[in-house]
Amino acid sequence: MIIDARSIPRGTIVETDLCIIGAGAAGITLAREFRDSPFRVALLESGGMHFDLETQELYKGRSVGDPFSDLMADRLRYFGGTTNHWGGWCLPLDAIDFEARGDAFPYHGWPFTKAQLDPWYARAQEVCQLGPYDYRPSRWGVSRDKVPQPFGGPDFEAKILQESPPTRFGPVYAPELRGAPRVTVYLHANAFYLDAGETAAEVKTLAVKTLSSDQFTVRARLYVLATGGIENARLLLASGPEGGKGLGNAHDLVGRFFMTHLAASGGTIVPADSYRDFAFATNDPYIPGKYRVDRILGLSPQSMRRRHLPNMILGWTYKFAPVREAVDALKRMTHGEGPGGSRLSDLSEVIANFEGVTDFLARKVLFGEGIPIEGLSLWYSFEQRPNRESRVSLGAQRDRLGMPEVVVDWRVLPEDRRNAVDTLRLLGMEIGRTGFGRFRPAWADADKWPPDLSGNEHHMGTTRMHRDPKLGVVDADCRVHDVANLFVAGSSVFPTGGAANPTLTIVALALRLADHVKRLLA
Amino acid sequence: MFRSMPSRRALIAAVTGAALCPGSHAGSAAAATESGHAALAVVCAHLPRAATIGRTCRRALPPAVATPERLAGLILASLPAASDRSSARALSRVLRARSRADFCEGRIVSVDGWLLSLTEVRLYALATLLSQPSLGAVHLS
Repeated sequence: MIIDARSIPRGTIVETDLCIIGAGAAGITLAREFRDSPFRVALLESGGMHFDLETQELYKGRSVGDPFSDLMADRLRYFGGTTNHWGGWCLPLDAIDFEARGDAFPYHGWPFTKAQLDPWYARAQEVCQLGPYDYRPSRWGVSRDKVPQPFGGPDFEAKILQESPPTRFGPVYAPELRGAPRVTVYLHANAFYLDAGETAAEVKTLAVKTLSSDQFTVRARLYVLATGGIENARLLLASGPEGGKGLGNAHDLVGRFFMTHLAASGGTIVPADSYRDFAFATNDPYIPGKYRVDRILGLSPQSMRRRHLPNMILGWTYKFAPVREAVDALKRMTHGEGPGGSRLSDLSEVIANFEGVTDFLARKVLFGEGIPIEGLSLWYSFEQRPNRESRVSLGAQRDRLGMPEVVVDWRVLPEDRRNAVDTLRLLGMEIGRTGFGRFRPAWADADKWPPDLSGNEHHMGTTRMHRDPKLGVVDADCRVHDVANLFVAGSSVFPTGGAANPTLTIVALALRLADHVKRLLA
Repeated sequence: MFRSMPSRRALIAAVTGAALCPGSHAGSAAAATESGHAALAVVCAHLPRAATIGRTCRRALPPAVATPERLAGLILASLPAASDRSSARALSRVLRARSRADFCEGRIVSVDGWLLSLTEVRLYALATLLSQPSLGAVHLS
């Protein structure tokens, strides 16, 4: 059932077994797991079924640290959450991302291994409408001999990502939830305050507000916070005993260790042989509307260990020789291929580049070569180290509902900058060593901030997971330490973020949490 | 510098071997010497776009080393003692190997943002110095 919370009379107390706060990838995944269960589930969503600015403005906040992207634009506050503009890139974290990595990485280490999370990763594939849970390049036809030498080891390696259609969790799963007999979705319902009494040992009730000034209460056996990497911390900090420092924050960890991925353009490779086949394409036939498989590059685990580097992935786009335009025009003229201009403009293009076109045709006929590549433009995504001083906190301003504004103080450590610059330099060395070409990194000076680098939409770490309450907000089951019935879902629980896009891991953890919550409710 | 693709292409072609393997007529024209100076001069003479690329490479090096004699000495001294320097073609192979070894060993120089091996930077700087008419006939032997 899906209802509009604005129709609920003021003062109503909604009784339920499980209250899930937030209907994004994590919240919807959790709720779906209860669609056939005997337990009552309330899924609260701040927005409606579609975007509206009034609700979106509840995301307004301030950035006071390193350059950070737009807090209003990064996230979406309506049913389906940020998956409503998600790009769909999926890949699991690497095994090394779960490991404690010694003194060089003091806050690394998850309370479980990747192998232990694998069963839920496999199930997450289906939720995200992906293919088999197999990210080995060889599975998708990318054998080692197909990968250009600098990316075939030992420092860099080919990796696979799967692209979801992308799954818009709202529209895709709304029919299912609408038909679930004991799941109730409350739209326009803003979680406002978790009341855990004086002891803060257990959440008693949740205060919920709507923009039409109505207020009601949810009383549940268990609560799951699933509002995203920033808002999860915001609600915890705004809750708990009056005058305190927030719920679950006995050790001043809520909102701290805020991380994203350091993503920006990486530079340009000019290959030595512009006719080389760089594609090392996968064998997955692309069907529009279905998932697709693509390849990227990354640091090998051996290299990360040996060189004490954090994780990173990189991809590329081709910069073709100008003759490509003329060849495309020729194809249109001769075969009617592809979209394009008029016959006259195509003819002019071919005539203007006649020498290049004849050279292309000769090479094509004689050697089977394609359009020469002038360069490869790289992008990168680096792991950011957990940094206690990088944080989300509450400001003095309040939003329309009276909730304190969020203040983002995102800070990148000097080690992060140096590691990124060192890794790009290592890439340049590998490209030169193997004779592949030469590289011009976009970021070569760790003291200078790259113009296109800012904290991105992968918000992680603000309720980090750790067995020790002094080092983590939630335990290995994603339960808030010392609060018996409060759990957190989403990337805020990631103790480290690796380099992989986070959605698949968010969904896998939500499925894992659902299994745990079912056991508790039973 | 290196803003236009032809320059980049020329650079890459040069440093990855194409230009370091002069044609047979050029190779046979080189007077072989024990030290390799003559062969080095021929290699430099065949570097494409050496004047343009070399000027930037030269600026990337300390002024004290940016003389023909010093650069030639540094380049040849960096090669294995037993390496074949009898012809431009042979020397090209040795230089290419040295250049790759530079990348392995981290002997790289940023030239206008491009990561180049120290050997190739010296080579291009030398090429541009040798081609300057103001220096007159520069002899490396």
